[in-house]
Amino acid sequence: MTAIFVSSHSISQQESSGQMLMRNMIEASGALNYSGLITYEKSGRLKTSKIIHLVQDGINFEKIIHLDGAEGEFSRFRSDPSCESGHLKASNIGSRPNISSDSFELIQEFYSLEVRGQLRVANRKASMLLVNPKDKHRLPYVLAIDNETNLLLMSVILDLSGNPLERFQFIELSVDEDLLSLDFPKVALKAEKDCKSDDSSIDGVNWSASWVPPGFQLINFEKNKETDQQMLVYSDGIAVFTVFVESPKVSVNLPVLATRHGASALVTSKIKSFDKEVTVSVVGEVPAGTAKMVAESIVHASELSKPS
Amino acid sequence: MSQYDNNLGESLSAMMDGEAQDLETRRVLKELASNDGTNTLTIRGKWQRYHAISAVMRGGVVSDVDYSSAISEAIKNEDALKTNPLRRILNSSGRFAIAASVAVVAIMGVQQFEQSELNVNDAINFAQIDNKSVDDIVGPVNQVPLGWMLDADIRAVSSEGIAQKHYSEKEIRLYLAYILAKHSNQAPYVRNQGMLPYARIEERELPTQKE
Repeated sequence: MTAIFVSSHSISQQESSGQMLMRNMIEASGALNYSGLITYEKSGRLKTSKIIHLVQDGINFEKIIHLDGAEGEFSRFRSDPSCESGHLKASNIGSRPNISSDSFELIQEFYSLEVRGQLRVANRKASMLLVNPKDKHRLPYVLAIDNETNLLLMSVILDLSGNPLERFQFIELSVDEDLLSLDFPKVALKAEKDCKSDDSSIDGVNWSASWVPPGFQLINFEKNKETDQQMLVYSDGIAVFTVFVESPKVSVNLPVLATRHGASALVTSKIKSFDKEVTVSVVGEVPAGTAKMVAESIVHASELSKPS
Repeated sequence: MSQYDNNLGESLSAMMDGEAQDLETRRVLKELASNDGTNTLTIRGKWQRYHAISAVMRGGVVSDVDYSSAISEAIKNEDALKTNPLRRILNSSGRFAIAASVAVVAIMGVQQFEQSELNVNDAINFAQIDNKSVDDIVGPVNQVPLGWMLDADIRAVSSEGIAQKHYSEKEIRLYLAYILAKHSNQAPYVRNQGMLPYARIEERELPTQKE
């Protein structure tokens, strides 16, 4: 009896060091100034980019510059974290999830976090963390977390068989003091853009998923007035999938299919509603079977309220 | 190998491509199920290898560039990856037409988890995922090889009257790229992955640029 107690205690200790590592990584990625060169590998292609992350007075500035292929860069200011998780009205959706902190409990419920040794990335010593899903509806990740700063240095998404699908990896990283020469860009009013106004109310979105894998929450939704496309975004804190419900007009030109691009499954399904057939597409870093199940569970909101 | 073996082997190939006649299929299945006979072991071995090859193909594409020696080592050791099974699928007449075109932009693949073919240690030494934890992961809903499933879907769709509906491959590819980009733009909302989600944003990657 004692022996069992001891071994389960040591297992939980090992797990909690993984949890701590993950928690530290989440915090560091928002709190530190860093910049570096990264590679992104997917579907046989390698992309290289430069990224910059600066924080000042509670405002995060994030920028990515493509170094190969078409020129391009993308930057964003994040100000008020409470605006980020989508444009949800608490009254309609229920409690509004804050994906960065609240979701940590969620992550622990659906993934086991295990430290699996040490490795070296971008000339830095790092700990290997295995993020192992507890059910078949999520994909495993292997992360490398910098020992010195707790920043995420490498992330590999695997399929359920353990084959790597995508890899993100720093090849060079500078943190904090090394960045004293970088000025924080002018924020101006741009930071407010992140916090969209509530003109996109849930009233415009009248489709819903009658089933999602356990732990997934609605974190964003949108209706495109021009194309009549409705979009629902769900996440469990790590995995994300997006549901698109197309207008009948667009749906006519889309077949049923199932495919994959890197770690992203893309599946489409046909749903009949009020004599019209619409195409539902689900894209996400989840197993294709799961994406298919979600696509087939999409119903019109009016059908949800019907007594079953 | 005897003549009978060769015929069986060919029938097996045809089956994998979805082109076997009923009689051939029955013969192969009978052989697979039987417990004796020298052919059984050979055919079973081939069956396993075909599935392993297609599972790897569906699971991902080999990348020549690799900064992590452990991962590249594991991939290099996989004999199956030295052939290019994708060519076979692409050359199949019509049946895989839509899938093939999509495969140019994306890799065909429904998750397929075949426990018997798994050699966990070889494939993922770097991750040290032990056998127990992988075995606990149950496979996806659809265990049927993608080729077959997509096949059935295309047939169901085209039975509605392909004369009326013409699916434009180009349009489909554009659509897939569009929703993939829109989806990738959502990921930064999930803040647990640092800057990683930004690396996945592919606003500018439309199929037309590759053509």
